[in-house]
Amino acid sequence: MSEAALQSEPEAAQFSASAVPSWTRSDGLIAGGVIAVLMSAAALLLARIDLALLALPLVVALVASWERRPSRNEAAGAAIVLRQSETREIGFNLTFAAPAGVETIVLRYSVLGGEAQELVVAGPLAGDLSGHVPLLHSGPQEVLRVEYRLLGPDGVARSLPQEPLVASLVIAPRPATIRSLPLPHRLQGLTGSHESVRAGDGGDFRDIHLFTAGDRLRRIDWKTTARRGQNAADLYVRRTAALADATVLIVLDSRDDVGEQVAQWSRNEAANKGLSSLDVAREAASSIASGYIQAGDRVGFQDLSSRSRMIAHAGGNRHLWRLLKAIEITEPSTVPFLHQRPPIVPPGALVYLLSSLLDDQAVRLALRWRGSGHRVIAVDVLPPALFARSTRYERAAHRVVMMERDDRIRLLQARGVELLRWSEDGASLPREARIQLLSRPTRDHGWAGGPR
Amino acid sequence: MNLPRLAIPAELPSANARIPGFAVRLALVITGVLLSLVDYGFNGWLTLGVLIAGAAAFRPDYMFGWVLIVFLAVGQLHHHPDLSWQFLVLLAGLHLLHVISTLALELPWRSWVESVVFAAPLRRFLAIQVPTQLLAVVALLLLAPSHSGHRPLTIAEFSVIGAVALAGLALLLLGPSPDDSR
Repeated sequence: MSEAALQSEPEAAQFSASAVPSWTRSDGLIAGGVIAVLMSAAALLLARIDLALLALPLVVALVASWERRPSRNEAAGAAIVLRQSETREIGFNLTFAAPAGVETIVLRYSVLGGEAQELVVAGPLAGDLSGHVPLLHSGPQEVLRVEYRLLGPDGVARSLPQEPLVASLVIAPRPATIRSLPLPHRLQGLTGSHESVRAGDGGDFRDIHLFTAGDRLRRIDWKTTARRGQNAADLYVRRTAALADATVLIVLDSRDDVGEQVAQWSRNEAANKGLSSLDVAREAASSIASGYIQAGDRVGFQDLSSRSRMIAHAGGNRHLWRLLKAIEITEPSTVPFLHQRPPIVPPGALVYLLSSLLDDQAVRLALRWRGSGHRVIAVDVLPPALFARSTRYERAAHRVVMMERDDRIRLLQARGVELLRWSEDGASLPREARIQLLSRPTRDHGWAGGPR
Repeated sequence: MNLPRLAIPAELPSANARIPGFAVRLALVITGVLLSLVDYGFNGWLTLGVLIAGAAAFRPDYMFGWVLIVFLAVGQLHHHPDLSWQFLVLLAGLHLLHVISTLALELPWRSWVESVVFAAPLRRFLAIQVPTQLLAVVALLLLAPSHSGHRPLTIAEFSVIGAVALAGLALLLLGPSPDDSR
């Protein structure tokens, strides 16, 4: 029976497991015993003392090993302590508590879900094994997986492999600061930090208008009234813009997670694929959520692959914490989009669709939302491609996939969906400049605070 | 592990595992071939010894290591049982083959091994071999017949009792399993 425990601290997490091993007798012990008996019998039958002498060390070795065999009822344990450092690395300590008599530990481990490696360490001398794992990705990840089996002296007894001990962590993405926020076409709400087109309180000067019922007397502009007034009943007031908040829905397409290394698209090994699309998507989603919540807006979150990861739009720091936690645990599901209808978008909301745009489903959703009158910004989270160790067939396949993807992007832009490429690549403007361009009012439809 | 590059795994530097697991199997082949050479000399039997040693290294789970021990013990029957350096080498070599075969059976060939893993087996090997070699020298001087058939100390019962005792010990080892005895 195995029991596992997890204790978390802000900087360290401990994973441990202990169990009583199941011991079996080594085949080497049986073979050595049989050989010793055969040689002794031959020595006896043939009256050859040299054969008896040749059997003697085998017998003594087997007896000595048998006397030192490990205790059957003693439990064996292993513990992993993970420490997250500032240098984008995870340090780990691996400790074993082996029963008395265990001489060797055969250790099989894998880091970040990569290829398993095997180490053989001396049992009593296997103190703290420590190492570092580079922090390559955000989100949930298996940092270290350890399996081990125990060997007695000269292999006289060996244990069956112990249950794997897995140390996992959820790594938070590092949000980028967004200084200028694109806004939906129509702002809603009576409070907020953005100026709406409605007249009200809180905003800057809007216009001069004839006094109507409901206007406050202190808003009367006497100079304008004196200049423009045709008769004694004409009063002019200075109107200011009302403040409002924006409603933003972040939709994350987490069905695939492709890395920047094209050669790893089929294998998808976390240790080798480089920066992945979900890494970029988590960073973009957390940056967008932080930016809008800190500006006093309401943000909702929807993971297309999971009905459970749907958070209704709201504001405030506690809601931001919920959003960031939901974004952190997003992982690729590899299942197709199961919704019969697209997720419901609040009226007047700005929709951010974070996707690698490698298939049509996300595109269909974006077009449907755009057709409903929402402002939709498709955030392209596919990292720039690298072609290390890729074959020419893989490069050709990548070229075909990119051509199809370019067609989708052209279709989106033709239908009024705006595109924001999140990854920085040297060929285009910096990301902040690209976001600033999206924040400007457009000719077709100015944003809520701009001139209409 | 990346065998073509012989890259030591970098994630656990404190393990100090610098010996590749296949070195054990290589040692098994070298020991087997050298002992076959000592036992049989340059003839056709040496080829068979090399083949068995290779098979023992290639598939330790088929127990070819112990087949090699039997093969070498049979080869000793062709020699006169007197004191010689070849016999003493064979005495140590068969024990060493047993130790290496056990290690090859248990250690994955693609693993990396800490050098201290071999310390305890080596210590036990020396602790057994030193008195065994001394005993072998004394026993062969006293009990082995000369080429003329004369035995310096002819005690037939001594050899009978000794062989029976050895067989009894071996049977004792093969009897109860560790699960039953504890």
